Amino acid sequence: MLQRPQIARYIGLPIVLYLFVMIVPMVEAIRQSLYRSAFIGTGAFSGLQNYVRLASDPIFWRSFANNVFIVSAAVIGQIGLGLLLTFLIVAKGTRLPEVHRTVLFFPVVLAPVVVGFLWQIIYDRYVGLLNSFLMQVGLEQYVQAWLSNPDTVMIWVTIPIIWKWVGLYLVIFLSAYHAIPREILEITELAGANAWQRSAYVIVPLMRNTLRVALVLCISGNMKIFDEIFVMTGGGPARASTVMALYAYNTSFAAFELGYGATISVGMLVLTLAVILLSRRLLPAQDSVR
Amino acid sequence: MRRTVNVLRNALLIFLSAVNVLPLLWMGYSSLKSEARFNQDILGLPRQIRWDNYVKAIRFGRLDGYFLNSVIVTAATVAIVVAACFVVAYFLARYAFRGRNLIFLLFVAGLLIPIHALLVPIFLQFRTIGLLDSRLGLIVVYAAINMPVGVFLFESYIRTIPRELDEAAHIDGATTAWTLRRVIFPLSTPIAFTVALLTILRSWNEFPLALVLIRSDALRTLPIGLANFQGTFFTEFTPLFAALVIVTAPVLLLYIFFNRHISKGMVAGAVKG
Repeated sequence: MLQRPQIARYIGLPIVLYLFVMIVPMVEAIRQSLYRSAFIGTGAFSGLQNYVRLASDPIFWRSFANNVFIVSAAVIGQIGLGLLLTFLIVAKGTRLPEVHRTVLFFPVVLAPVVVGFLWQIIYDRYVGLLNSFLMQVGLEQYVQAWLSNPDTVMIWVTIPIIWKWVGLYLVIFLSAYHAIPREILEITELAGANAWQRSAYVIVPLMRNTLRVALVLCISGNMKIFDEIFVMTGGGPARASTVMALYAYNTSFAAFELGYGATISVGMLVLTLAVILLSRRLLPAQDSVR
Repeated sequence: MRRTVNVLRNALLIFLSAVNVLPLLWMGYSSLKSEARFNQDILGLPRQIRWDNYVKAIRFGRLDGYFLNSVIVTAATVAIVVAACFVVAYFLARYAFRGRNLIFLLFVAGLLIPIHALLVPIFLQFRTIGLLDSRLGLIVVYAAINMPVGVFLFESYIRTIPRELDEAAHIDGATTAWTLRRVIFPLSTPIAFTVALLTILRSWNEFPLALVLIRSDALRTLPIGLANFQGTFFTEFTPLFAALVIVTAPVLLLYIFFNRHISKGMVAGAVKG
């Protein structure tokens, strides 16, 4: 069997490549955040000054609030709707469950950029699918430029994000459902529980660990959302739909404040972990049953 | 009562699935309409099939070049990810060496770090060593971001391959490299295929890193080309639909042929992470 140096010969190169792209930049981001911004070379060391600025930066907190809005909507729209679809699909008497699963998963494989463009056209004032539909059914009074109102823009940019990912949660829940021993489901049925009782008191509790995974996935995915919003609104109108990743990008590559951009990135990472930990407190792990 | 519930449930599900694919269908058939016809009737099906939107999208949006770049970057990334993840996962699964836990931990960290947090530091690092604005740079980054999921999928699969096979090969005098290539890899092809599919999807669709790392037009991948497309055709929608179809068609076809592999792989990747 192989000795350590020989193992290193095999896995050395991939590990170095991985460290070089993922781990070194992470350390570098933290280091950068301690320096004044400078595009060429490194600016002067500034300690925690960037973090002090971050803590009182209204645009950053506005972006964070927008991320939290998307996460909250996605917990309902992706996890909630995903669960509902799971129950509809696995119920007895549902025709062609495979077709529904396949069709509902379609948007998951699309490029987020494509999703952004497609929905930008759907929301278009003049040629949008949404407005044309409203005109067809006689609801002309609701016709509007959907992405131009700063008060409601967050709702409209969140819908495509939910649409894109709900299929992933559906297949995750379907596979968890199929992992539940058949006997348990049969016994509850024999005991006279109806579909609602079985879902709420048997199936969902048995899927608890999967739900925790889904929750982490949902939070981390939506805290870093970027592509769709970059394409649809660019964070506008008037920064109303800016999210943390977009703010970090604009700060670094439009305003060329690389040090502060790195600070925003680190802040984003810390806040994401904080929200994940909080969510795990709210939904503790289940250690019994399976 | 039961029957009514059943009919209602099926109807609801059909409605939801239909609403779900409607935007995609609309994108598809609108790409075949003339611009005039589209402006006149936004929802209607095309009267006659018009392929000239595709010609326009390719010629003026230069999608052929971007398409080729996406193919090159994706293919190279897949080759590296499959080979690297297989080898790393093999040693993680079979050997208890010092540093093994640390390597595991680093890959778990890779699943948690949002890649957007690394845009600035990767940009600076690549500028220093001259990997900015090069295909190689993009391939290296894509390979690394796909490694955590790939390593975990391979690792749990290789654990199911009996150790006796390695040992038998070893006793017969096979080198480790030979055993890896001729014994273990052939048995791992199902998971290799899944890892390849997931890597294709992620590399093909990736946007922010390509946006930051690639500057010259000749090296742009499809998502970046698409983002610049609007400037070229800001008043015409049907060529834009055609461009969206061109970007989407390869991944959608892949999904249609291998949908079980893809959805299972994504579930395993998500749940393990």
